[in-house]
Amino acid sequence: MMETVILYRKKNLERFFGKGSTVKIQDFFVSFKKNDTLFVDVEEGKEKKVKEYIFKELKNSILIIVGNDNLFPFHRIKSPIDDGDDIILTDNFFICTDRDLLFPEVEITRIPNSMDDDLKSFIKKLENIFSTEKININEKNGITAQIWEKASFDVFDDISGQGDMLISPPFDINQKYDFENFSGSFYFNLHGNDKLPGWYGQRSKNSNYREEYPLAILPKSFKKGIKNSFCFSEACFGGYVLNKKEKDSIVLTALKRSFIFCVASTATAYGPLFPPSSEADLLARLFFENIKKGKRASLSVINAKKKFIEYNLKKNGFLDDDDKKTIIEFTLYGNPLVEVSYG
Amino acid sequence: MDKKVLKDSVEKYVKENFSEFYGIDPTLKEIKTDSRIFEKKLKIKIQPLEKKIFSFVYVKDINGFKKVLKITVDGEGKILKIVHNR
Repeated sequence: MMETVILYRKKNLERFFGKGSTVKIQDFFVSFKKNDTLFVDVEEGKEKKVKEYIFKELKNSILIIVGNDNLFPFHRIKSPIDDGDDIILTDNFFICTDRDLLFPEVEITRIPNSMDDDLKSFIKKLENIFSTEKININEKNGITAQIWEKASFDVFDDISGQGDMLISPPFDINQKYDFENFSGSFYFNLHGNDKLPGWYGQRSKNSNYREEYPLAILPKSFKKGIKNSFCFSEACFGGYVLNKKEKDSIVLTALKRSFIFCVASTATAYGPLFPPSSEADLLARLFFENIKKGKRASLSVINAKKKFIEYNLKKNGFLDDDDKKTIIEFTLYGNPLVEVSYG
Repeated sequence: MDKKVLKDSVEKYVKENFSEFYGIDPTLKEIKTDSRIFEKKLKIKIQPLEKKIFSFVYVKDINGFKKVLKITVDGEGKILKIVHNR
């Protein structure tokens, strides 16, 4: 059995959740994983030493970061592409030895708190997320912006399961959409923004739809009816959870209520309008291929990133700045141990 | 190809195909990849690049939504990749 290594910062946990909260969170992980859990208090300024220790002694473990940026800060790295983002948040620091933090060598995930979580609600979130390590699903669901629907269907058609992908527009938040009893995978290829809670479609060049960017979904869309599900979202800032309350983030709401893991981006993400898949579309495709093979969530993410690098280097001979950004910004949140079977 | 000529060639393409970005001054960067580390980690051989690669990034803001067009070209102006932000 793989050892799980819980990375936390006691000082921040106790300040945010109160005295004694660290022990309660540790108790949860001990009861969940029995004897295969190691706890590492990563004090401020000791990150490099902890990383050295991970690569020396714990390379075959699964790292679980406890908390949002306020409890365990993301690593900050300059955006490889001049798109106005300036700095990107990433967890690649602890799992890559190369200078640019591109090649992942250790599995990792993060369990982010919402800014309105207290200790009780955070532990409840942990209980939901870690309630199972194996799920069996038959369904899939997706929503794409109209402008790149062909590129999205090229990815969606290869995802296992039965289901449809909605196109936005015409689909928007005003249309009733019922996730009642849904159990399966979600693929979102929509717009996102660091300041807005929802994800948005975009009309194609020839569309008559009145709005260019119709609101497609909001955090409240994921409050009920979904169980044992997971998602890959390509939305810009879909995984940007910094200083967010639950109502301000789809990922935070979904992890609290119904999803057991999500892969999403902390910054501006990229993809093509048409096939073949590249950037986030390619990473999503490779991720779902690994999930289909029964690989656990965290292994699926690092396998997808490695294959993404190999594919681009063999095909193009280079990784350009948006390829690099894709590898740095896509982040796993939730249970890393989940294996998915179909049928 | 001279950088000025390369820039003009991409500008012409943008004008014809992505007119909403025409007139925006793009950032231009030469792409360099140190593939030795990946060759070692992935145990693969990567053909060395014999040509220069450049990226042109156009950014505009529409009602609070950032819109990014990125075009990757080789030194001869051949378009290798076009991507948009999500």
